[in-house]
Amino acid sequence: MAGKVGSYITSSIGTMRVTEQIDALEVMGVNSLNYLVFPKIIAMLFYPFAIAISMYVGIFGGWLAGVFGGFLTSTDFVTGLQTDFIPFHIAYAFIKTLIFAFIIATIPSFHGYYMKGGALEVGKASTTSFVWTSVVIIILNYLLTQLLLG
Amino acid sequence: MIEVNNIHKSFGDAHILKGISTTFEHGKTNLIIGQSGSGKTVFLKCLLGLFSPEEGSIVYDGKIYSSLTEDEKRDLRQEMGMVFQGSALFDSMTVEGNVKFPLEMFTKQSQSEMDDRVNTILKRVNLVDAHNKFPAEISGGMQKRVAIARAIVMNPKYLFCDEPNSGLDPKTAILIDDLIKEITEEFNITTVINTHDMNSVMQIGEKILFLKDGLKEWEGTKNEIFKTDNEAVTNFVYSSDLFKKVRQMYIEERN
Ligand SMILES: Nc1ncnc2c1ncn2[C@@H]1O[C@H](COP(=O)(O)OP(=O)(O)O)[C@@H](O)[C@H]1O
Ligand SMILES: [Mg+2]
Repeated sequence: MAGKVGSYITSSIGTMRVTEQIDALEVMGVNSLNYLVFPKIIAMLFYPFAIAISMYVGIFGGWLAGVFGGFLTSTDFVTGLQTDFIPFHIAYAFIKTLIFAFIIATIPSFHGYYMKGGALEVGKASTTSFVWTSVVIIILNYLLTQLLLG
Repeated sequence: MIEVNNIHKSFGDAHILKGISTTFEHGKTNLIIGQSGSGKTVFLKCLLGLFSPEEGSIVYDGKIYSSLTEDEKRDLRQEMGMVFQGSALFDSMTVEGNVKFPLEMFTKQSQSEMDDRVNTILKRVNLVDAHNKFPAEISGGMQKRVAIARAIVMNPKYLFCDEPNSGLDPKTAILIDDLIKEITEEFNITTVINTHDMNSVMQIGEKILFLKDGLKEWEGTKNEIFKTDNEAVTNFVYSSDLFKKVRQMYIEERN
């Protein structure tokens, strides 16, 4: 996500910066930071829905492979799922995705919005923003896990 | 009318504008000329309120920019139109979308009122069948027209153009220059244009301000620019062979 969504955000906002589209917004009296970044944060806050779907598809895939591959019965699979199930893990997953989504929307936006230079620098800004987003996510992942599950 | 009083602008240690004063009258095309890097764009962005000068003041028809409230500044900005050097069209929007954008953001007009206005303006800049094209799909000259249309759609009192014909072929450049001059007169706008193109000076220059190293080196009309003895100005003006010949003829005539 940081690679795909993040670099898209940095390069699209960065291109707007270097081609003076952001200046054009400001001249018109539009608050460009709000106008460009806010919708992206809102959109990324729907990220947990994507995660919910991926959880569902993941479990469903496991069931398909298990049952139709002849490894276990449907009942066994469901029992296995429910044994030692900790409901908080679901909340934990959603808290994490929500925070990561916020990071993926804001750090790349920052790198795009405040970049200087031309087309070449847009590419560099995307790379830097990807590195920073990844580093922040890895560190936060560790901290959140310690905080929530420790 | 815009009055500029002794403005200074620096970026870090780099002192870019070193005290510029002048006035720009309405209904006239005011040109700022000078070599690349002389501070034309920075000056224009100060006029637009995108940069705030550390010293000096800019007065728009009696309103001193630095003493306006945020709301008043926003209202004033809506009276300004800007044509950026690279057009700066929103590339995710169609031609129509670009021109309509300021109306959608700042007016409460109905969809059909906005469409009417967009059609009128696009017709005014001689663009009739590009409504649904994207900026990447039209020529540089057409992009400039769209940029001009977007800049004037809100009926601005002030129009700023940063090198409006750079990157255009000479014929298109003249058309764009003429269009800006016509619009300026038709709507009685205070227009300020940055250029390093002597053809534009000849074509549309009414008042001309020559910037050099962040200072006002010379100021006058296009008739005066060929008679001045200011060396920096004559070097700039006669960097083109054609104008060297014109100068030669003028001197011969005088003697
Ligand atoms: N945002 C900025 N930050 C720092 N320096 C700048 C900035 N904008 C312009 N400059 C510097 O100001 C000088 C004048 O630039 P500019 O006004 O763009 O010249 P031009 O007359 O070609 O339009 C240049 O040396 C440029 O490097
Ligand atoms: Mg410039």
